[in-house]
Amino acid sequence: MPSRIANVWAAPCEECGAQANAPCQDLRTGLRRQLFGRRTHRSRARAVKAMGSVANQPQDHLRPGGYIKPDMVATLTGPTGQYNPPTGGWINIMSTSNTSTITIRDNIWQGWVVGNTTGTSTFITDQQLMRFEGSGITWNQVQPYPYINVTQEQVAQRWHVLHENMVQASAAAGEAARRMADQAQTVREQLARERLARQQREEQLIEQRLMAHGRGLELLDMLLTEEQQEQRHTGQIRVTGSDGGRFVIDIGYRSVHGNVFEEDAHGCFLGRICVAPQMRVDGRALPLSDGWVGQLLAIQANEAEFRRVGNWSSVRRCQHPDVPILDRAA
Amino acid sequence: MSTITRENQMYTEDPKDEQHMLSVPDETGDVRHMWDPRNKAEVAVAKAAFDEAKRKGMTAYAVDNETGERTRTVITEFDKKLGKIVMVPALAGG
Repeated sequence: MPSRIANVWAAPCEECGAQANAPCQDLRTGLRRQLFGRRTHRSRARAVKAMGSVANQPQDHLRPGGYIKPDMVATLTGPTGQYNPPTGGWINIMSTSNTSTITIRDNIWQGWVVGNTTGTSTFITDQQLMRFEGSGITWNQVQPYPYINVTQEQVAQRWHVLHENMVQASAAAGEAARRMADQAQTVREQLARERLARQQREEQLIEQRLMAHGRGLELLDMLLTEEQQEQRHTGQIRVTGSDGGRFVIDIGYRSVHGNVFEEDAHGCFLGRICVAPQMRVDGRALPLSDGWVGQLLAIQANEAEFRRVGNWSSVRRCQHPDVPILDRAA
Repeated sequence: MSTITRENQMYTEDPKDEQHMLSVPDETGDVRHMWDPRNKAEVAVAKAAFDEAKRKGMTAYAVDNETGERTRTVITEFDKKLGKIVMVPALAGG
């Protein structure tokens, strides 16, 4: 057997799932690329080497000696068939002329027989025919005869071996491809399940937070006067402290940090104070509305403590100290 | 006044009676414990919740919405006669 194999891709690859006559895929990286040149995976190289001389032929189905596919029909021109029965080599084109027809595999024996006649009829025995049962090969020129032609016997054996190899290789490649497809499907299903569970958890958390905020607003409304309830819808609640200070809780700020400022009787801005209840209880965050409830009660119950604890910013004086404060209209 | 029965106890429904409430904030908004001053079991449950909230460092505010000034006072002990008690976590500067 020649040292260099003409077709290193004669057999399919079990490692990467490459089909016959196709290069191997590079599994070393996550990128989709093929192995360069004639390099293949080791298992494939061993399988190709086991195929023997068939793998040594170019796998071009249009060329003489090609590994012929069952349903392929083509007309070729080429040299006559080369068959060396003593060495068991593979016969190529079954014709004694320069033109030959490669027909489907199930009657290639017939073609060989027809093309290789030497004036006498050649036959295949019933025993030889039985060897090919189940292989899809059919023989038209079958006549029982008492003797066996040696060359026909060797060709028949070779066909049978190659057929078995092809069937097994196809089955193995198919099985490997099925395993890979099953694994890929399993991974896709797992990712889809995790994605859906994560989305459901997020939506559930959002819904819970909205309900908690609504419940806090309900409690806040219980503590407000009617006028303050109307102010709430504008985004600002004016509160009078226990020491007479005037504060505005800005709920439109959507926060409990820096959302309270003091104003005077003129409505002048006097400063911003950042103070709020601790917004985590037992490690869980409270809704914003609970923070606003705490600010409201702290201002109304203990203004001094509220002022002391808070951090002030933007402190300024009244801009209109000389403007008299008018009493509110009755 | 009408008479109602609840848990084998006879009460007289008085229009002036108001449901007493203790509000303790949590991640769901708040947990509200209702009690009737005449029901010892309910009072005990509310007091236990009050004490637990105080243990966590919360401040208790007694809310009286009936007066014109809407008084708010800080309390340190549970009083079953109070109409509404709202627990608020400790204040902190931001």
